[in-house]
Amino acid sequence: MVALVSDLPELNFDVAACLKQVRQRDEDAARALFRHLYPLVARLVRSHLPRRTSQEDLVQTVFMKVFANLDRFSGTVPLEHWVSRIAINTCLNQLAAEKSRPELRWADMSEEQTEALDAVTAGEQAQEPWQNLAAREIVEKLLAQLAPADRLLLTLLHLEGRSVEEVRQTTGWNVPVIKVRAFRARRKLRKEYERLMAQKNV
Amino acid sequence: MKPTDKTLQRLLNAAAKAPSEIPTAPPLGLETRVLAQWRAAGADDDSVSVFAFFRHAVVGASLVLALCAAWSFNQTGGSVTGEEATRLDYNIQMSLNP
Repeated sequence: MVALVSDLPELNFDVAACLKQVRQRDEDAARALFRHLYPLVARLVRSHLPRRTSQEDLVQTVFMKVFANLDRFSGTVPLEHWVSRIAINTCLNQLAAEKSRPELRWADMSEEQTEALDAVTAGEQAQEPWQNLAAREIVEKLLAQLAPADRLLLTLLHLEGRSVEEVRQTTGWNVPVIKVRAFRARRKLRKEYERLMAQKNV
Repeated sequence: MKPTDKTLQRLLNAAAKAPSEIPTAPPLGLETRVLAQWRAAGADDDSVSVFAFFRHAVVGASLVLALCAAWSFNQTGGSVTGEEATRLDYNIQMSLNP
């Protein structure tokens, strides 16, 4: 389980005091807030990064949105949840702008990837870190063929291990929508996976 | 559960176990760029507030001008008409002449 708070470097960071100073245009406070939130934003952007977008540019865009809308932050939810939602929506918009979704072919996979996939399909659990990394690369390529919202949802649920409640807080979607969309997204992912595996057997 | 579902789940489990590098420090220059944009946005806000102040000042001055004009019109137009004032003025001037 990946908790949002665990990404933050300083646990005793006084968010309320910092926000007050940032609203009074205190640059040191703005710098402290940036450094406090950077690990969280960077991790979210890295997990949901569109193919043709630079991670740094997207992180910068997220921070500009955070600072521009800071006056609208009411404090009813933790700041990290509010920032996560901005980051996720920014990534989602960027993913939606990406028109083409390249098809994953068996021939395009590296030797390590095919070996890891063989190990998984043979019923062995990938134990070596390189096998897990190769599996991750394959899954990311499979997910890249899905619609942005489907990709986002499966990443949050299956790769980041978030609960439905955490997904609800992060995306703002309600629970039935999340469950139905996750079911359909998983079905699409299975179809892509079957198509890939069919190429192996040809 | 179908065999495909099982293998897909195993693939997802393996992918979830992949070590992910947790970023701690921002890359060089990113912090400077973000803070520069934040400062620039603040300067824009200041110019917008000065513009809003002048706009309100102009609206307020126009309102005062209109109220003064209305009050002045009521003061003069209510008691003596223009034609009557001219006749009175003429009579005063004639009486003062030797």
